[in-house]
Amino acid sequence: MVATDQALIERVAAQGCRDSFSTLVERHQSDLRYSLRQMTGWDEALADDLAQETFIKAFQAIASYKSNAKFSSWLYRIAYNQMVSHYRLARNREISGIDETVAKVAERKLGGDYAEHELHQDLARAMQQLPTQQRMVIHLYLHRQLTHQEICTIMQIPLGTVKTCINRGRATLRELLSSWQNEDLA
Amino acid sequence: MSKQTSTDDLFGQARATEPYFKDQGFVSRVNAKLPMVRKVSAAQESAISVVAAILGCTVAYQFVSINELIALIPNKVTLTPISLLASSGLISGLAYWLAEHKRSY
Repeated sequence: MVATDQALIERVAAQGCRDSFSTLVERHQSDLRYSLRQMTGWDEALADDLAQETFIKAFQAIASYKSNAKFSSWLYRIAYNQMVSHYRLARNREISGIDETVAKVAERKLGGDYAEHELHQDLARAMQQLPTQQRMVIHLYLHRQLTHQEICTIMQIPLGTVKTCINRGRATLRELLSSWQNEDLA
Repeated sequence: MSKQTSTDDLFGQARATEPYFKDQGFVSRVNAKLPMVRKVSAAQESAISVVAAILGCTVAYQFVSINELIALIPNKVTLTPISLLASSGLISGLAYWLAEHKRSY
């Protein structure tokens, strides 16, 4: 029988069972790494580093996990805080990870075949132009399809802020992804 | 189709075609960096601290007169500008560290 996330978490919290934690990491690593690629403009190395740090923080704080939330939601919360800390440090060191301008993203030409991987990367690069908070809200809402309330809980921000982020994020992305949309509509 | 719908559609397509990332050593890298598990639980650690504190107080009570201890308590504190600056800096630093520490979870 496959152990549930909750059963594995209880084992990790009570006995510090590393095997149970490995199972949790194995189960959630792909989703988290994908989300972090979307959050970091598809910077694979940075996304994997942040994912790794997220899991380590989760292991350290597993006793504080509350079972009324999904484990994945809790992971997103830690990942978001990791990402915010990373960008704050990067800003302080004046090493911005943003290397692609709005114009460059908009200029991207579409291939004749609708390359699926290209779509993921272009979405990530367009999202990179949004502020960190807006980016996370948009990803959780439009990609992960979480509810407004779930996003409020994960990011610990008011409902009004979530709605504003969604509206503004959509408007910006509409401009940035116009080439994809025009192709899509044609 | 509205423009807003097509933005949502792009995310829908991305969701439907989201790649699965194979482990490729990721889990073992995380495992290698996990901190060692404490053999003593947090509750046991607290209990040991409390017992040690009680023992210490008992020993101190046996060897040191209570009046001498009371006499050690300062009855007047003078705050100089430097000490005021240092203490406010310390408190601000502690508050910042606590806020950052709490935020990371």
